[in-house]
This record gives sequence, structure tokens and C-alpha cells, in this order.
Amino acid sequence: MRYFLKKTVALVITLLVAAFLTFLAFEVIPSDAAMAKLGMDATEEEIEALREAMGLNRSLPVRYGDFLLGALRGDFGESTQYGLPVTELLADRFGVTIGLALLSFVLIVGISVPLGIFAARTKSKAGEGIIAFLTQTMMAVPPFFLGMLITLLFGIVLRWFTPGAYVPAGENFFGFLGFMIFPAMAVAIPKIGMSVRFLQSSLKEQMQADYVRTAKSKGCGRRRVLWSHVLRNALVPVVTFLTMVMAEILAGSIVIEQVFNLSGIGRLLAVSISGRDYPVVRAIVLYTTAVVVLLNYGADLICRYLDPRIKEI
Amino acid sequence: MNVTGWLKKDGKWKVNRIIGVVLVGLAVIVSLTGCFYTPYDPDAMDATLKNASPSLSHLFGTDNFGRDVLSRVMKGAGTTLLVGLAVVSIGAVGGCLMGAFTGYFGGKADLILMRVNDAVAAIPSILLALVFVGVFGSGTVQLVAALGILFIPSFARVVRSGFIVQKELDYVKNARLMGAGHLRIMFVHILPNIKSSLLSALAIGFNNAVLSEAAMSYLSLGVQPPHASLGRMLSEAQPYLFRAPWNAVAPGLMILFSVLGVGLLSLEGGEKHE
Repeated sequence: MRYFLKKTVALVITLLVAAFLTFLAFEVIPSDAAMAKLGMDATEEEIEALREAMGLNRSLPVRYGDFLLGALRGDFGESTQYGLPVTELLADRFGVTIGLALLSFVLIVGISVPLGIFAARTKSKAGEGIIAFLTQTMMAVPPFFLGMLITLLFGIVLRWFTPGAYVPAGENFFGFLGFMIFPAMAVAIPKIGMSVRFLQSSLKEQMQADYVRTAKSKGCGRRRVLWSHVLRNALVPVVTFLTMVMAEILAGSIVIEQVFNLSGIGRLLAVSISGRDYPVVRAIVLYTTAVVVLLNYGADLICRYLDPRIKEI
Repeated sequence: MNVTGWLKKDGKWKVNRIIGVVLVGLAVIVSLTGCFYTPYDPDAMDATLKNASPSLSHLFGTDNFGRDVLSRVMKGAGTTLLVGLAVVSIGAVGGCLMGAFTGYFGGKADLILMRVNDAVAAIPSILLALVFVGVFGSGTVQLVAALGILFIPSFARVVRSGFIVQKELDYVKNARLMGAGHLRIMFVHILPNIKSSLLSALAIGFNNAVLSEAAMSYLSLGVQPPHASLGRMLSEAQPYLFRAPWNAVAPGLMILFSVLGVGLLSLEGGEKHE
């Protein structure tokens, strides 16, 4: 219980700090929202008037408080590019990004766990060499290049899907899966390389532990040693690692959405940065950071449940 | 160290290391040559030769402006690898200083800096780089600065954990007794001893830097036109993927080869020290 409380306090502090940094980052920009909105040839008076109207003339702590309250209510102001409330813009796009992230995560776990176990059990030098080569290759492909290759192969040559024709999950779930599986592959493959390597090394480390030898000498079968001893002990680092992978999937989808022309959060972020649409950028950064921080919090709690020996911090 | 001893072990060739050497060599030769010589002017447009398929006069074909893809890959590889090197240098120097001081002296500053480090490391670096570019504008210099700063924590962590182990060892006490100053001990005595973990961090960092540069330039937030960079070329090639796939395949493979090469070298290097 104390652990839970401590972690929760730390979580709230981290979120506040993250919110402050996102707020501050866009305060140091020389041009403010009023200048951006009116453009280059606005007069001093016009800018000043708009600043007053937008509340940009108040002191920093007041505006931070405002920003926080707004963020809590889900109000991030208006997009300067689209003239729509930021929350509305985001709401349309969240589904796409979450769908892509979840599907990629399922692919990563589903493929890399069996492969990782297989890799950890291989004894032959040649097998190890081949696995090392393959995982390195998977990690070396830029995800967006992979996305293009997938579009070229499955979309243009084999015609298994129509590039750019996204199907919302609400309309036709299988149509959605049939399209999303391709961008999800592009996000997943580099991470699969990473996960297989990680699983291989952490399982190998566990297999050399004393308890494995004890279990074997008591007459435990190879399969039982693996499933009920090694995997259980390897679970904590694996959960931590998968949390990191989840955060990277979110980041990776920024680029992949661009490749597959998906209108998700990542694509909106890229467009808003080039368009200097700061309210949108701020909201997306804050949301994504919050998701990452919450994921880490969840992972900490799960790890503590799996292994009660874990002390604070 | 003789070369065959490095490439062979127990009489067997280390295939992955050989492939690594070949790929890194290829990347270095292509980008170095690109600095002095390219078959065509990489920026020269030819309206009569748009999206021409690979031929003897244009080995990798031409792009939608009729520019020679091979020449642009040679030039772009130079930019991309140079950005990667610059980023890793900033990250490594900054990380070494930070890791060395915090690891060697410990105390409150160590505690606080490491917390900040953890916080920065928890957030995906491409997101932070995007914010940085959003605040300071896009361009090669901003990109290098953003990625360089973001790479400091990973190096600091490696160096710090090395220093924490090393500072308790006898040779450090010895040096101390002989009157060596703290700075001398840190950078002349300890630093060479953590060479191997630093080297593999450098390799991983370089690969991440190249991939991040490519991703940022692909989103048109990194290297700006008319400069050629591999990521930039890929984003320009995308609309013509169907008509002229060579436009995308050539720069993409170039990135893949250089990153894979460095990865394979670091892999075998790491195993040797274990």
C-alpha cells in the first residue's frame, strides 16, 4: 500500500512537471500566438489588442494555472491552422493511432515471444549467427522505408490492400484489420528485432541461474523448467521492456501514419509543427507524455505484484 | 592485432563481422567519394529525363525532376552520416562529462541529474526532437543540436555506471596516493577502462542518430531542400513509388546498409569482451 501511494504521488508530480515543461517550451518562442495569427504585416496595435483578448498579457504563473485547468477539462484552446477546438481535432484522430498502436503491440508480442524462446534455446553457433544477423537487419531498416516497401509489395504489386484507403473500425472491423495490418507490420518489424534480442539475452541469463540447475537435478523436464521457472523469473524485466516498446510504438506511428496516409495523432503533430500550430502541438505532446508516464506507472505496479521484493523507486 | 585474427575465431570466419566490415566500408567509400566526385551534378535537373528507369548512363535511374539518383545518394549519404557523427559526438562528449562527474563524485547532484535523465529517457526521443524543432524551427543545425542533446542521457548512463564500478578499484586508490588529481584520474585513468561499453554505446547511438535524422528529414523537419539527405530523398520519392520505385529503394538501402554494418560490427565487438 505504501508502495502504491508513493508511486501515485510520484506520478502526479511527474505529470505536473511534464505539463509545465510543455507549457514553458512554447513560451520561449519569440513569436507568440497573436503574431502567428495575424501574420507579418499586422500593426503593433492590432497585435497588442489581440494579445489582450487572448489573455497573453497576464503573468506566467496565471497562464500556467489556466493551461492546467484547461488541460484537466480537456480544453486546449483553438487550433490556429484549422480554427477548430483542439480537443475536437484530437478526438477524431485518437482512434486511428490507438488502433495502430494496439495492433502493432499484438504483432510484436505474438511474434517475438516464440522467436525469443527459440533463439534462447539454440545452441549452435551458426544458428546464433543467423539470428543475430536477422535481428540486426530488422533493427536497421528505417520504419518508413519498410512502410514504403510494404506498400510497394502488398499494395501495388500484390494488390492485397488499397494504399491510402483507410477503413474506420466502426464501419467494417475486418476491413479495418485488413488495412491496418500493413502499417502495423511496418511499426512492428524493427521492434520485433529488438524484442527477440532482449528476450534471448534475458532468458539465457536466467537459464544459467542456480535455480535452473536445481530444478533440472530434481528431475524437472526441459519444458517445465522453461515455462514454470525461467519464464516466471524473466517476467519482470520483460514487462519493463514491453512498456518501453509501447512508448516507442507511439513515437514510431508518427512517421508510419505519414507513410500510409492515416489521419492519426502523429500525422497531425507533424503537420502542426510545420504549420506552427502551437496549441495543437502542445496538446499532443502533453497527451503522449501522459500516456507514456501512465504506462510506466502501470508497469511499476505490475512488476511489484509479480515480484514483491521490489522496493521503492 | 592482425586482421585475420580479428575476422577469424577457432579457424572459422566470423561471417557477421565480415559482412559488417564490407557494409561499413561501402558506406564510407560511397559517402567520401560523394564529397569530391559524383557522376552528375546532384542538383542538376533534366526535364527530358523524369523518372527514367535505371540504365547504364543513370545506374539508379532519375527522380521526378530528372536528377541522377546515384549522385544524390552519394551526396545524401554524406549529409546523413555526417549528421549522425555530429549528433553522436555531442551526445558522447556531453554524456561522458555528465556521467563521469556524477558517477565519480556521487552525492545530491548525481541523484537529481539521474532523475532528470530517467525522465528524459522515458519519453521517446523522436517526440522530443519534434518539440525542439517546433520551438526552434527546422533545419540541419537545429536537428543536430536537438538530437545531440537528446542523446546525452543514454551516454551519461553508460559512463556513470562504469565509473561507479571503476572508482572503487585499487588502481584508482593507487593513483590517488601517487598524487593524481581528480580530473586526471577521471579522464586519464578511468575513462580508458570503460572503453568497451562506451564503444558499443557509440555504435548504438550512431545508428539511432542516422535513423532519427532520416525520420525527421522524411517528415520535412530536418535537412531542408535543396540539400540532399537520404531521409529527404525518401519523402520526395514516395508519391512516385509506383512509377519510379528506384527513387525510394536506393536511398533506403543505403541507410539500411550503413546502419546494419555498424550494428554487426558492434555486435561482435561486444561479444568479444564478455
